[in-house]
Formats: sequence, C-alpha cells, structure tokens
Amino acid sequence: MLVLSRKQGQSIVIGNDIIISVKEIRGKTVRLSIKTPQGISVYREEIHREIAEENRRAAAAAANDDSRLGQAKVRVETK
Amino acid sequence: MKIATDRFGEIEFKQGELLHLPEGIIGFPGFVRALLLDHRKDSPFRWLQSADDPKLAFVVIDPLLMVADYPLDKLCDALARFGQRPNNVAVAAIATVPTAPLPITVNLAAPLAFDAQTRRGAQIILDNPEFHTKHMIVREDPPPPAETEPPQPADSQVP
Repeated sequence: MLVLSRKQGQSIVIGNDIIISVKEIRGKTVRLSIKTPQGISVYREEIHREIAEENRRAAAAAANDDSRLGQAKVRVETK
Repeated sequence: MKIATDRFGEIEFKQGELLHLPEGIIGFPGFVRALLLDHRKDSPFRWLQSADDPKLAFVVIDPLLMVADYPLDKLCDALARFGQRPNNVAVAAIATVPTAPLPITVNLAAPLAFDAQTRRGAQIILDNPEFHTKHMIVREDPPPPAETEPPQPADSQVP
C-alpha cells in the first residue's frame, strides 16, 4: 500500500483519469474532490460496506427455504 | 438459451430477456447477467436469478409499491453513466427474507435500476437519509393451517 502526504490544494492521480484533490483541511476533517471518468462510481466506504453486507444477508436468506414467501400472505404497507 | 439454477431448475430464455449489470451488484461483482422471474401470480415479490451462478438469486420488489414518490429521476441521472440517460427506468429493490420471526425488510437505500430500453443497469446508492437498507414495509398474515391428513392406524389394511 502506498501512503502519501498531500497539502491543501494538492492532488494525486490514479491511472490516467482519476484525480483526487485535497480541497480543505479543517480539524480532523479532510474535504476531497474526486474526478472520475464516466462509469466509475465513488462511495463513502462505510455506506458501500453497509450495502454489501445487506446484499450478502439478502442472498444468504434467499438461498434458504422460501416457504415464508410462499405461505404467508405478504401485504405491502404504503407510507 | 438455457441455464441450470438451484431454485428453479433448468430455465429456458431468450437473449433479449437478460438484464445486464456491467458493474455487478455491490459485494457480488460477478452478478452481471440476470433474469427476472415471478415468485407467484399474486405475490408482490419477484426473483432476480443470476444467469451465471446457479446458486445466486435475490428476492426483489418494486419500491414504488411502498414509496410512491421514489426518486426515479436520481436513478435516471445515475444510469447516465452508461452513456445515455434512460427515458424509462425500471427499478427493483432487494428484499431480505430471513427466517421468522425476523422481519422481512427491503433495501430502499440502494435499489437496482435499469434502462428499460437497453436492459442495462446498476445498483445505485441513493445516499439519502430518508431511505434505509432495512426498510420494514410488509405485514404478514399467518400461513393457512397445513392440510394434515388424519392419522391412519398403523396396521390397518385398506381393502
């Protein structure tokens, strides 16, 4: 793993077309700007992890017996 | 075309029925081709079966059934990354159906959105605190009593 030091206003380039710049440093918070080509998604890591975990739960549950979906009459409640 | 699946056995389908997720599903990068199958006629649930992994399928549901003003615009914007902003978007939210008594929940935070014309889509993270990964939206009526046959005497002879 590469570890770099950057000052406010400085950037790093990943590949040829991903640019991450340090916009602002305030206390313990760093504001980054991320420029990516079309088709590359950028997520906050904790949100990405939460979604991946929920997807894994859903897949594991779906691999089990589906009698619950089949037997129970499931009604969707609208807000 | 034909695929073997664990849940549905062998499925025959036309190439045009496939849904494409070039980036995969988050945590499942290999989930790139899928088929949408009905669960049963009167059920709001459907199945998104992987066309590449016989074991892998998700239960999905239309989030518009729960949230009438679900942000379809945002989903269209996100799909523009494939080159063109879709005119019509098809959306499916992944449901988690754990063993009872855990509740059935729906992931409204990261729905699957597809361009209805190209059938190409992605899992889009909405990044909106209004929508949660474990949205509880369903009420279950207990299953009908099982039809049990009256016990038969062990050593009776049926004429």
